[in-house]
Formats: sequence, C-alpha cells, structure tokens
Amino acid sequence: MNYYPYEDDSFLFSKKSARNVFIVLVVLFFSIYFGSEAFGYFDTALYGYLWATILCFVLLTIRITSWTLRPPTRRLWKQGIKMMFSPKGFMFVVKTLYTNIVEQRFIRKRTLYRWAQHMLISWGVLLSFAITFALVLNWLHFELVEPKVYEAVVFGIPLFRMVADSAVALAIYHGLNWTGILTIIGCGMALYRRLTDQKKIVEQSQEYDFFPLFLLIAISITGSLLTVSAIWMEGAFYLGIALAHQVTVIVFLLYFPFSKFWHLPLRFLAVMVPMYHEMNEKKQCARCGRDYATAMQISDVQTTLANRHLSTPIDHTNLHFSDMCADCRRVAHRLGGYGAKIELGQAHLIVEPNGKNGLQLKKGEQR
Amino acid sequence: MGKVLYIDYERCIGCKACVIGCEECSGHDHLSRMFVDELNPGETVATSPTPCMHCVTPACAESCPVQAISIAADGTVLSASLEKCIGCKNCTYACPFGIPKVDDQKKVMYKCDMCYDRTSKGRPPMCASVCPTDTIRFVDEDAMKNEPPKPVQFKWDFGGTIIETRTVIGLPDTETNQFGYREGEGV
Amino acid sequence: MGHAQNKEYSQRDYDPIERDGEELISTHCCFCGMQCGMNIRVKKEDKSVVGVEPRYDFPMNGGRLCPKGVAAYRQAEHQERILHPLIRKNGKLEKATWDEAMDLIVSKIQEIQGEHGKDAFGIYSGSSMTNEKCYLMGKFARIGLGTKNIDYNGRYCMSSASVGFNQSLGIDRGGTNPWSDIKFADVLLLAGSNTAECHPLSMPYIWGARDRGAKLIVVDPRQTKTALVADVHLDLRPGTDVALANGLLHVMIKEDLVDQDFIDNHTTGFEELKELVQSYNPKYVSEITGVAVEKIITAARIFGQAKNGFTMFARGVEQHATGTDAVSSYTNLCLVTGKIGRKGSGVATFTGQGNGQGGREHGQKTDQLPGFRKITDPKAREYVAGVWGVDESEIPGPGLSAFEMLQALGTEIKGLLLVCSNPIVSSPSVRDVGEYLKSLDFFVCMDMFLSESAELADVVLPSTVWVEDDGTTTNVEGRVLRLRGIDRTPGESKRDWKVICEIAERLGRGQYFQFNSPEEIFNELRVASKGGIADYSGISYEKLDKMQGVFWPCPSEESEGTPRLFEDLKFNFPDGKARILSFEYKGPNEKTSKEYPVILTTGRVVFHYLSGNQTRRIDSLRAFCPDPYVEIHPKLAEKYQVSNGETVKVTSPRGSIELVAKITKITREDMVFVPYHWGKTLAINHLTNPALEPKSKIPEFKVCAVKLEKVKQTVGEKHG
Repeated sequence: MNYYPYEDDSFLFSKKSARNVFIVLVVLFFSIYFGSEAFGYFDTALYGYLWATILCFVLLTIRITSWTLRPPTRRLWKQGIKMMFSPKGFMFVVKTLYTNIVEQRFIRKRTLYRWAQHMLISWGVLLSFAITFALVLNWLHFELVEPKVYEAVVFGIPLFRMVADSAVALAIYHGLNWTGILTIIGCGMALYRRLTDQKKIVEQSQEYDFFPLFLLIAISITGSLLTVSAIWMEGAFYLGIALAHQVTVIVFLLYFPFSKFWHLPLRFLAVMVPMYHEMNEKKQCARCGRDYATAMQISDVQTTLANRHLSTPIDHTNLHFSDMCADCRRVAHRLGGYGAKIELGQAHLIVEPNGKNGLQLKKGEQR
Repeated sequence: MGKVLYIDYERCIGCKACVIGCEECSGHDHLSRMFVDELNPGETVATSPTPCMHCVTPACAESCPVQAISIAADGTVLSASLEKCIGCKNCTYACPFGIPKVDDQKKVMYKCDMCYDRTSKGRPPMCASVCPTDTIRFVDEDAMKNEPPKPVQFKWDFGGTIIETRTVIGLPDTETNQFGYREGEGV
Repeated sequence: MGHAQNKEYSQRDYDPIERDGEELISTHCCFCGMQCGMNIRVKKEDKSVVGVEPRYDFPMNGGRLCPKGVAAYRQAEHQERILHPLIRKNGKLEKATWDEAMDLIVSKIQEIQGEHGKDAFGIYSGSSMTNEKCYLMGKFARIGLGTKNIDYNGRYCMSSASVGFNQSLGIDRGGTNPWSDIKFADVLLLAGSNTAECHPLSMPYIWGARDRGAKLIVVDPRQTKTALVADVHLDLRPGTDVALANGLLHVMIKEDLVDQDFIDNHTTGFEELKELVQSYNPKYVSEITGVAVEKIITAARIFGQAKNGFTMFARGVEQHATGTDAVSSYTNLCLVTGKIGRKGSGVATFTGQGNGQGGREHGQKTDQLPGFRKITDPKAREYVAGVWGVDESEIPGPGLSAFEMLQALGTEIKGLLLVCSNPIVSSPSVRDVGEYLKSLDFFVCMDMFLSESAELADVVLPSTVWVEDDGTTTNVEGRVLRLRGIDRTPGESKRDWKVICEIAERLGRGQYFQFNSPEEIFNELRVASKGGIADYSGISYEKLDKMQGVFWPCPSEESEGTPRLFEDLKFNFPDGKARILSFEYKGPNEKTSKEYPVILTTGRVVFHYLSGNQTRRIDSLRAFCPDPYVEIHPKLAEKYQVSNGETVKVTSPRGSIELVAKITKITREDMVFVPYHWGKTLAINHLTNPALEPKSKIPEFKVCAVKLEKVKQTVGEKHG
C-alpha cells in the first residue's frame, strides 16, 4: 500500500483533510437528521455499524484528499470536470459510466471469466453498500401503515407501499441476502482462478489478493446465516452470528480505504479518461510527425513532471522528450549513442547528444 | 549487488527473439514488453532492443494519477496494477525512454518487469536468456557500472534532471568502427 | 564430460525453470544447422505443448535462441496441422483412412513400377529429418522400392560445399573445427553468409573472437547485419566469388603472406595456383567484382598476416553455376596460409538445414550409400549390401539429382514420394516445377502441414512434428545430437519412419524394415556407416546423452569422437596432402543484358526458414515479416522512379512477380535482393535460373538477370 502524503507542504494536506472531513461530517449529520426524521426513527440495533460507517467516511475522505493532492491526479480531475460541463463532455461521461461501471466492458476484453466474476462481486458489493448505508444512516426505513402493509420512507418521504409477504417485499427485505449470494459466487470464482492459474504476477501479492476475498465471503456468509437463523432455526445462535457479522463488516469498512477496494473510487476517475483522450486537439510527434497524443495531455504530463522535478527537456530547445512519440524517443537515444545528429522533422530542428546522455540542440542551429 | 540488464546494441541483429521470448514469461500473459527498433531504415540495417530502463526515480510512476505503478524491493519498476490502472497513458508520455505500453481495449498498462518470476528464482529474464547475439545480458550491476568493458550509459542528464537507471546501455564503438551508423541524408 | 566441458562454448550456469504440472523435454530446434538446444514445455496432463524454456547447459547455444527457435514449438498445437490422410477425389483432397491411403499407394507403386520399370517411381526427400529417417529413406528407395531415383532438397543447399570440400580436403564435414574454436581466430572471413540472420547463434562465437581483437572480413553484396559490424566489407557483385578469392590469393602470394612450409609439406597444386592468380591483380579483380582495390588489398593483408583464422561461407558462395570452384577457391585461402587443423584455424560452411550435415551422409543422396560411401564403389556396395542382407546387385546405381529428377517427372519418372520438402517453393523456375508435378501419374506427399507442394498431391499422409519423435541429427560442426520427443501422435498422424516401414511391409519387403524405434534404425546406421568417411559406429544414444553430442568420425566404442579434423595435418587423400585447386573466373550462367539489366539475388530473412511452410504459419513470425519485398538501392530506384512502399514488377526470362519496394542503401546499385520464403504468386523462384553446377548439380539461385517496372496502383491495394 503505497499511501503517503504527497505535497512538500505537509500542512496543506492536514488543512485540506481537516476541511474535507468537516464538510463530510456535516453532510452526514444532516443526512441522518433528515433521514431519521429528526432522530424519530433511529435503529439502535445498527449503532455499531453507524459509527464504523462514519469512521469509514472520514478515512476515505482523508485518503481521497491525499490522493487528489498528487499533481497528476489533481490535473486529471480538474481537466475532467472542466470538460464534463460541456454538453459533449457530459454525453461522453454518461456513456463511459455505462460501459466502464455498469457493463465493465474493459474487463470483458481481458477475459470472459474474469468479467463474470468481477460483475458478480462488484454489483454484489455495490448494492450491499447501497442497502447498508441507507439503513445504517437511517436514510431509509419501513413503516407499518396497515396490518401486513409496509411503507418505504426515504428521507422522510413515503415512497411506496407493499404487502408484507408479497414478492416485492421478499425481494427487498432479503436484498442483502441476494447481493450476498452474488458476492459469494463471484468470490468463489475468483478464488478458483487464483488457485488454478498459478501465474506469478509480481504486481499482486497473496495477502493483498486473498484477504479481501475471504473478508467478503465472511461478511456474506455471516449475513446470510442471520436470515437462516431467524427463519429456519428459530433464532438459534442469532446473537453470536450477529456479532460476527458486525465485526466483519466493521473490519471491512475500516479496511476499505487502504486496500484492494480502494480501486473503487479510482474507477470514477477512469470515467474521465476517454473524454480526456478524445475531446482534445491531437499532438504530432516532433520527429516523425505522427499523431500520438493530445496536446493537453502532453502539457499536463510536462507540468506534473515539473512539479516533481522530473522534467526531461531537450537542452536549448522548448521541447521535452514527451514531445516525441515513444518509438522516436527510443530511437533518438540510440542514435545519440552513435554520436549521430537527429533530425526532428516535424519541429524543424536538428539535435545531437549533449555529452551527458541527454540531447541538445545541434550547435550552430537556430533555436 | 543485484543483477541488471545490459544492452550492447551494436551487436543487435534485429531478430526480435527477445520480443517473442518476452511473451514466454509466465507473468506476461503473452504480451511482449520488449522493443526492437530500426534506427535508420533505408540507410542501415542497424537496430536496437530496449527493455525497461528501471529508473531509480521512475517518471512513469510519478505521472500516474492512481498510483498504480509500484517499485519492487530490488528496484524493479513494475507494470501498473491491473485493478488500479485507468488506462490514461500518462506513463507512456512521461517515460523519457518510451517504454510503457497501454492496451486500449483492456485498459491495462504493461511494461518490462525483468521477468519477475525468473529473476526471483535467480534466472535471467527471457530476453537475456534467448538473445542469440548476447546483445542483451544479465550482469552484475555494480561491476558493470563501476568497471564497464566499454563506454556505457546509466546516468542521464536531461536539462539538469538526473535520472539514474538500473539498466545499462553499452555504446557502440564509433572510434575504430562505425558499427551500424552511416552518415547520410535524413539522419 | 567430453566436449560439453569445453569452456569456450556458450553454455551458462543456470538450470531451466520447471513449472507445476509441466515437464521439460530437452531437445533441439527443428530449424537450421546450428541445432540449438532447447527445452519444450509439455503439460503432463494432456501432453500438450505449451512453451519453450531455455536450455542453458547446452554448449552450442547456452539457451540462446533466434526468433524461429523461440516460436518453433508453436507448430505443435497449430490448427492447420494435417491430422488424417487425404486422398484426391474428383479433384479435391478429401479425408480418408490410413488403409485406403496405403492400399492406393501400394497399388500405384506396383502399377507404375510394373509398367515402366522400378526407376519410374522416385523419392524426393528432405534434410530437415533425423539421421534415422534420412538413412531409412535411402534404404527404402534402394531395397524397398528398388529405384535408383532418390535425391533430396539438400541438393539445393549443401551440395557445392560437399563437392568442394571433398575435392580440396577429401572429406566433407561442414566445419573442420568445433564452433568453440572460432573464438580463437585472429581473423574471420565470412563469405556469402548473412550469419547474423541465417545462423544467429554463431554470432556469440564471432563476437567472442572480436572481443579478443579479431578482425572480421565479410564478403557479401549487401551490407547485412553481419557486414555492418565488419572491419572490411567486400561488397562484391553477385557471382564473382572465384575472382575475388583469386584476387585475395594474388595479393597474399605477391606480398609473401603464405605459409610456404605448410604448402610444401601438406598440399599439392600450389604452383598451378600461383600461375593462375598472377593475372588476378587487385585492379582487374576490382573491375570484375566491383569491390574497391584498397579493400581487396586490406582484406588480403589482414587475412594473410593473421596467425589463426577461419574462412567460413554459405549459400552466397555455393548456389552458383561455379559453386564448387568458389568453395575450393575460398578453401585455398586457408590452405596457402596454413590456417587449418588447430584451435582458431579452419574452414567451415554454415549448414542450412536442420540436419543438412547428417542428411547428406547416409544415403539419401542419389550417388551415395551410408557413411559417405560412393554408390559406384564396388567395395562400398558390397559392404552395405551385407549390412542390409541383400545381394549387391539388388542395390541400384546412381540416379538423377534433385532438379534433374523434377525435370524428369512425367517422362522418366511417373510416380513420386515427396517427404519433408516443398520443391514448388524452393526450386528454381517454379512455374515449370508445378507443371512437372502435375504431369505425374501418382504423387504422394508426407507432411504435417498442407504445403504448396502437398496441395498438388494425390495422397497426403499426416506426419508428426519434430518434437513428437526421437532421433539424432548432425549439426553444422559435425556433432551428432540427440533429439527427444513427446510420446504422442495427434489425430491420425504417424511418424514418417513408421509409415515407410509399413509401405515396405505391404510391398513384401518388410523383412528389411523391422524397426520398432528410431534407436533400432540408428543402431543399423552405425553398422552401415562403419569404416566409411562419416563413421558413426562408436556413437550410441547413451553416449550422445552423456556427452551432449559426439563429433564424427567416431569409429569405436572407446572413441569420444573427433571435434577437430586434420590435427595431424593429414588430409583424406592417399598421400595425406590437401589439394590446392585453381579455377579461372567464369562468372554466372546468366549475364545481365540490355533487356534484363539488373542482377537478382535471393536469400533469407531471420524470421523464416526455407520454403516457409512452417514459419509462415506461426503468427508471431509472420507478423514480423508477412510478405516478400524487393530491396532496391536509391539510385536504381530513381532510375525507375520507384519510391519506398510502391509495387514493382520484377521479370526474368522465366517469369515475373510483383513485390513491394524497399528502398535501401544496404544493397548494391546494380542488383536487387528478394527473400525466397513464399510460394505461389509471391515466389521469387519463378524468376531464378535452373542452370546447374556441373559437379554438385546445385541450381544457380544467387544470380539471374531481371528487369524492373513500376506498377501503377491505387492506394492501399496490395499484391495477392
């Protein structure tokens, strides 16, 4: 977990985190206040979950603050949000939201099995989140309005009514069981793939990969057992199971911002990417003249690297290595190794080795 | 101490054995991370392979908006983690050596990890294993950097930015032989 | 033990990685004569071939592989493999059973031989097969079919070197030295060999010598990747090798850079040579070859002054109407300077085919019996007849050589068995070859892929890929190697030696072909080669395993083989002296003319092997080099107003094809180069000259006269 504060000014991070946490806490408080109709309907059984959720939100806020402080991240967010406000950008984002998050097309391109597994886990977890947060934060509750008729109330607004043992009620009441089953199947598939496909992928480690899977399975199973106990076992072991469930969920909530699950917020930044690549003026390689990027992204990358003191300019020119396509960058280094002149055709410049393994404008050439 | 890749590119014959060899590594999913470039087509047949240079301060990682690129304990710069990478391509532009590749469909960045499954067991990476001409070698880092057999590159000065790389490039012998380089139009 | 311990080889101190659920089959590459060691990864569960793993401990290549080697395994599970016999019905090849196919083959053989005589059924085989199979083909032809007409595709490849070495040194082993000796040379003269692309695994040895300070002289019309790193690049006009070699000899003799002691004691013929090369002064040679005078003088001095050195050559020297002359002329360079028979000094030819060496030793050549014996030699006939258990008179005499055999199809030869070869891509003037094959009464082909030639066959038999069979090959050094196979035959495919034994059985000759394994065949080969020049009698599978290969001759159980020939400076002639033979320059058979003003030379690229039947099917290799092209110098291109990427029609008196132009300064201005690995409309062999070398019968692939025309085309259109 490469989590570390980023800015040189460590107070900046603290100040921004404090501010963001404050905002989040205020919003949370009022959402609970209105959701529970001024604490009128407060499910005290979910008290433990509530505090863990609030803590989770706080940690997540700090983590996101730290993350968005990094120059490349901030740059992309800013550009993305700016573009999103144009009609074309908005359409782009809506479309990408669908392909990336709803349909997860890019994972299907990896392999079908992987896609199926990921769809199950992600939708299982996302829907569970929705239900859990809604209940725990008291945004949603059910009122008995007639014998055997419940009314769903969201933020104090009655939404619809249903008969207690109707199909709709069954589907909603056991919502967490259904999402739990999705999650268990998905995690099972993931475990099976990890055990059979023994590829050593260096980017992944055992604890980083296996623990979240076990955690999700534990949550889903203990949650389902609650139902089993209530319906078929006349409440046997209910308290123990409830405690176990609560513990696993709390561990999950606190673990969330720093684990493999952290990629979930990242995915929302990914939604910006196609728009970022498509909606800008193309940039030509300074050597071969081929379109290889957008001018905006190259300038963003150069700004980012400058912030990190990692600029890679070509001496005595306005160009950086990133003004060439990847192929030309590799070739330029090798030609430089021969002591050759390198003609940057598109930029109308001739460069040569700078004697220190970089490149510089050829002596005597016009800048 | 550690072992690193050494590229003596005047020996390269452009056969791309390293490029297909790279696919054979178990962690590589049959996606090659190796490059072989023609240096001056039409003028000469000279070519050069390029694996990742494994910078000590990798620009790819610094430019990544989602911190997907990490560095292993031995200094190997790894491919972006599959679940974090958002396919934004910042790394492909930031890298001064032109190394990372992004698969647009799968939205994954992949790059040379020195065949982690092999190097972790003390075997050379596939490119250095198969290279038929010893252009790519797996050598002791300190020995190569301190007592190189010929002029080498591993410290790069780009307008004052110093980037040190673990991979070492051996320079062609242009004093006694113009190996591969022919001065001509359109260099 | 043995040669594997030779530290000058390329082996490295690593073990291969073994992965769970897999086993490693340690074998050798199926492609060129280097015969690099490799491990094939096989899934234990279903014996499927899943990959390649370096074999670091094999001395020749130490795990290194060229792209063909890395990708070789991808043939094994290839979807285009033929998995059942095919019989032509109503003009189309259709699936059939082995019984149907065998019945048809046997009845046709009997019919044709009954009607037109035994010799009317011919065998055209290949040199990419193991020694066992090559030996078996020769035996099957002589006493299975009783035909004199068997020859093989090595005729296009190694035959000039073979004749040249035999006439100069009295023995034909591709390399007089083990490859590890190359590192000790002070000068290397590589002629007509793009070593970097065609034998990449020789490069570590060449660099090994260079690292010690050796000079490199490369003789090649193109500035190939080999020539690029040379100290002197003699960029001669194709087909002028004899003149160049004579020119180098002229300078060396004039400047007294010869080893007179060696010449006096161990050679004959020097005086004649001295007289002949007198007229080959650098200026005259420069006019013929187009090589600058200073370069000729420099090269001769470097070679002459060096203490140790190698002359190495390949098809660029050999595939000419005067190929054997050129081989002997280049061999002279070593003989007059005494560079032979010791570490760092010798002569070698780069064997092209996987078993180019072994394939030419054990009797599948039409004029030869096992152990490099001459088929016309009564003693040899008697000995081999004894081994085979037949009467000497049952062994036919010499028949037609490969290309002559193709020309005789439909007339003298009515039926043909084609094994492990694709002559309709690899022969010169291939349009005619297509006609010859079509005129056959019966044509049966054994292959694992439906090659361009197999497409014309009446019966196609599915054989196995190399990694599915055991056997031995003999590499470029003369080192006999052991190939190991997986125990599987996918679909209904069968190993070719089994099929041959079965046909023999059905022909009623089964008693001579009772073999149950390649090892049994090899053991008979050992006996058959005993006392011959290529004596394998002391080589057993066990010894091969133990020693990582054994160099022939190995005449006894105790012998560890002969890595270096002529260490005693005794050459294989009754007087023990090497023959310095002198040849006038005659030039190529076809000269350029007003109508055909440009020289065409053909060759290989690193990504493909021979007729491309295997490598063109492997996706990754095809992706690197999908189509042939024509290399044109910018000045020549200017004359025809062709720019890079445009289509050019290249025409010779025999045919024409259209190719994409690749404008490059690496080639000479008076010639063009086209790689030959493609068939049908992409085959450059439509153009090449079928003129044969009188002694070796090798066709002149390397020179013919052509004209160029730019083809007007719409953008994006590609040749078909």
